[in-house]
Amino acid sequence: MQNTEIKELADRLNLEPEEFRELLALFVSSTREEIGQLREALSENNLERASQLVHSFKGAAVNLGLNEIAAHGEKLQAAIKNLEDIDIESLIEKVLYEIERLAGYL
Amino acid sequence: MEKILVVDNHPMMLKFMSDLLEKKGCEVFTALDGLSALEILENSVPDVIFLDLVMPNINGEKLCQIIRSRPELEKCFIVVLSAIMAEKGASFDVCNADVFIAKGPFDKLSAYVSSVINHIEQGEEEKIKGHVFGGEDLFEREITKELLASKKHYELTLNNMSEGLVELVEQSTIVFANPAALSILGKPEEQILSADFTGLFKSSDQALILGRIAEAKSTGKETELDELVEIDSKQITIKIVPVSSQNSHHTTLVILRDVTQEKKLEAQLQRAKKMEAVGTLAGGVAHDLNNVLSAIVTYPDLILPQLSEGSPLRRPILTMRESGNKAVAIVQDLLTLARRGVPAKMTVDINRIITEFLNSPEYSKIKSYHPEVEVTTRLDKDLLNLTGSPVHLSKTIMNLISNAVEAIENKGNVEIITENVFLDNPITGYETIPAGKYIKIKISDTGAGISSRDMERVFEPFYTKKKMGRSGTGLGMSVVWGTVKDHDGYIDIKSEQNSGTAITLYFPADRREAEPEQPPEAEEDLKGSGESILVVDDVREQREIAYTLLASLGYHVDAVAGGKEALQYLREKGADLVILDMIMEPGMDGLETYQEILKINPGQKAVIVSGFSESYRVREVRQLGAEEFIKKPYSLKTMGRAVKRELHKKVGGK
Repeated sequence: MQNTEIKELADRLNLEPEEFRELLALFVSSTREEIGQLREALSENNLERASQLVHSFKGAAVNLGLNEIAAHGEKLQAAIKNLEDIDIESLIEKVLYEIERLAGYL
Repeated sequence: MEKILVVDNHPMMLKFMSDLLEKKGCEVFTALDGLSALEILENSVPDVIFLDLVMPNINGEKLCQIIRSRPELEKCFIVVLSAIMAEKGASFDVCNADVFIAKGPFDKLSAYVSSVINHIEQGEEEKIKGHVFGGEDLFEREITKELLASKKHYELTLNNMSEGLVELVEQSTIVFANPAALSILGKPEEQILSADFTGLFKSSDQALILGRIAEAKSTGKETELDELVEIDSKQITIKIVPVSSQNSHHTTLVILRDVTQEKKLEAQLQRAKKMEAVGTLAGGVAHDLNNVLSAIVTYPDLILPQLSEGSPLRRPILTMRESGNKAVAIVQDLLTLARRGVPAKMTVDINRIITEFLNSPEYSKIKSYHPEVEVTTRLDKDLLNLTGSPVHLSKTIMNLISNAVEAIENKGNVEIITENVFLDNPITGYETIPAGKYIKIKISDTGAGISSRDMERVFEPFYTKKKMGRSGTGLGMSVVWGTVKDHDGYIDIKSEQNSGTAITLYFPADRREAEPEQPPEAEEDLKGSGESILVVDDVREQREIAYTLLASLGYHVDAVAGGKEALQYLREKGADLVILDMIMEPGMDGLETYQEILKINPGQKAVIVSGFSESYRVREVRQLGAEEFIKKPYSLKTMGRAVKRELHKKVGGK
C-alpha cells in the first residue's frame, strides 16, 4: 500500500514510511478535531482561541513538511485577524480538503 | 540510560519524540499539559525535560518556573521546544531553560534533539547551555507576535485587578493565579500552581468550598459563599464561576476578594454610631437628673450653717452632700458623653495636666491602694499645645492613668509618654488615623490586659470590669472617647491578656502657647447688699433653690416661670439682675427672652444658667452682654460669685 507521495515526504524527513504514516494519522485526527473547535471558536467570536488552534495545526504541518497546509494556515491567521469571513471559510475548506486527501493514504 | 519527560499538547509531537528518544535507548514519559507533567514529576525525576511553551493547564513558562523552584528537580536539564521563542527573544531569563529548539520539519528537529541528547550522554551539557537550535528557520514570526500582543492585553488586565482570580481544573487543582490571588493566598506562584485550592483553607472551610464548587459545576451557574473564609488572618469572599465550553477544558474560575479592611472599617463605623446613640440617650437623662440633683447638692449648703457644731444632723447632711457631689460627677460625665456641650477652646499643655494630676490628692489616694505600682513619665519638653477644654482633657488623662494603675494587681509599671509625632502614613489600629502632625500621649501598663471580646465594648458606658464603688462612675472610658472625639483626636489600643495594655491618644497639634494658670482666688465675700434679682426658670424646684440661695446671700429675690412673665415683671418693676435659665419649655428660651429683655432695658445685667455646657445659643447670649454663665447644679459659691461679678461689672463694657 506504499504511496509515492508518502514515501517522498518520509524520505525528506529521514523517517521510515511506516513511522511517517503513524505520525500523519495523529496529525489528521488532531487537525480534524482542531478544525471543529476552530469553527466553534469563530462562531463564539473567540479570535484568540481561533488563532491558537490554527497556530497548532500549522506548526504540526511544518513538522511533517506539509507546506501547502502550513501556507493555508498562515493565510487563515491573516484572514482571522482581518475578520474576512469569506476567506476564512474557503481557507478552512482548503485545509480540510488537503487533510482528507492525506487521510486517503492511511 | 537517560530518563526523559516530554511535555507537548500535540499528540503527534509526543509520538515523534518518544519514538526518537526510545530508539536512542532513553526511558520516556509524556504529558499533554503542564499539570500532568507536574503529576509525573511528583514520582520521578527525569534527567532531561523537553517542553512546549503554549499549553493548556499551566503553560511551559510557568512549568519551567515551578520546576526551577523545586530543589529535588534542580539537576533536570530543561529544553524548550517551541515555535514562538524567537518572539520572546529566546529569553532564558524568562523561562529559566537550558536550551531552546525551534520547532521545524522533523528531520531538523530530530538532528537537534539528537545533538542535545548526545552532549548530555557525554557529560558535555555545559557546552550547549544557552544555545538556540534552528532559530533561523522560524517563519511564523508576525502572527505569533499578534498572538502574544493579545495575550499581553489580558495579562495586563489580570495582573492589575484587585480581585484575586484563580483557575481550577479537575476537582480543585490550581492552574492559574493572578498576582492579586497570590497575595491574598499568601504564597508564591511556584507553590500555588498545581496545588489543591481547597487544601489552602482551614479544614472547617474546606467542605464548604468544595461543596460550592461542585454546585457551580452541576448547575452551570455562578455562586458565592455566604460566609467569609479566613486565610492568613485575612477575611475573604469567594465567588465561583463555572466555565464550560464544548471544546475547551472544563474549568472553574474563583474570584477572591480581601475584605479584611472593609470589615474593619464597618466595625469602626458601627462602634462610632453606637457611641453616638448612647451619648444622645445619656444626654437626655442627664439633663433631667441635673434638675433633680440640684436640691440635694444645694440644700446642705443652706442647712449646714444653721446647725450647731454638735448637731446629730450634721453627719447625715454631710454624707448627703458628698453623695450628691458624686452624682453630679456622674451626670457631668454623661453630659460630656452627650457631646451637646462644645468644649472651651483654650490652649492646653498636656504635660502640665499630667504633672498636675500626678501631684493631686486623687492620685495619691489611688496610688495608696496600689503601692507596688511604679509610675514613670517621659514627657517631651517641646510638646506642642492643643486647643480644647482643659477640664475634659484633665479628666481624660486622669481616667487613663487611674485605669492603668488599677489594672495592675500587685507589682507592675505604668509608663506615661508624650511626644510630637508626624505620621507619614495613616495608622490602622483600633481606628484609622490619617497622616498628619499629632500630639501623642501613650499610657501603658503591665496589667491584666483586655480580652478581644471586651475590646469591642471598652468605650461603652457602664461596661466595666472594675469593682463598682471603689472608684469610677462606669463612664471613664466613655468620657475618654467623647473627649478625644470632641478634640478631633484618635485613639489606638493595643492589649494582650496578662501582659498589659497601651492606650495611645493622638490629638491634632497646635503651636500656640498655653494659657497662664488662673491665680488662686482669695476667700471672698459673696454677700449682696439688697440688690433686686429676678429668677427665670421653668422648673419649680430650680426657682426655689435659686430663691433660697440668693435670699440667704442678702439679695431681694423674685421668681417667675417663663420668658413672657419675666418681660412683664421687668416692664412693671425692673430688676438689677436677671438669673436666666437657658432651656425653658414651652415658650421662649433663654436667648429669645434675653433679646426681648434688651428691648425693654438695654444693658440689663443677667446671669445665664444651663444644665449643658456652653452651647452656641449660650455664646450668643453672652455676646449680647450677659457674660456670666453657670452650670447646673450650682453651689452657693458659684452662684454667689457669678452674681457678684455681673453686678459689679463696668456698665457699657462687655
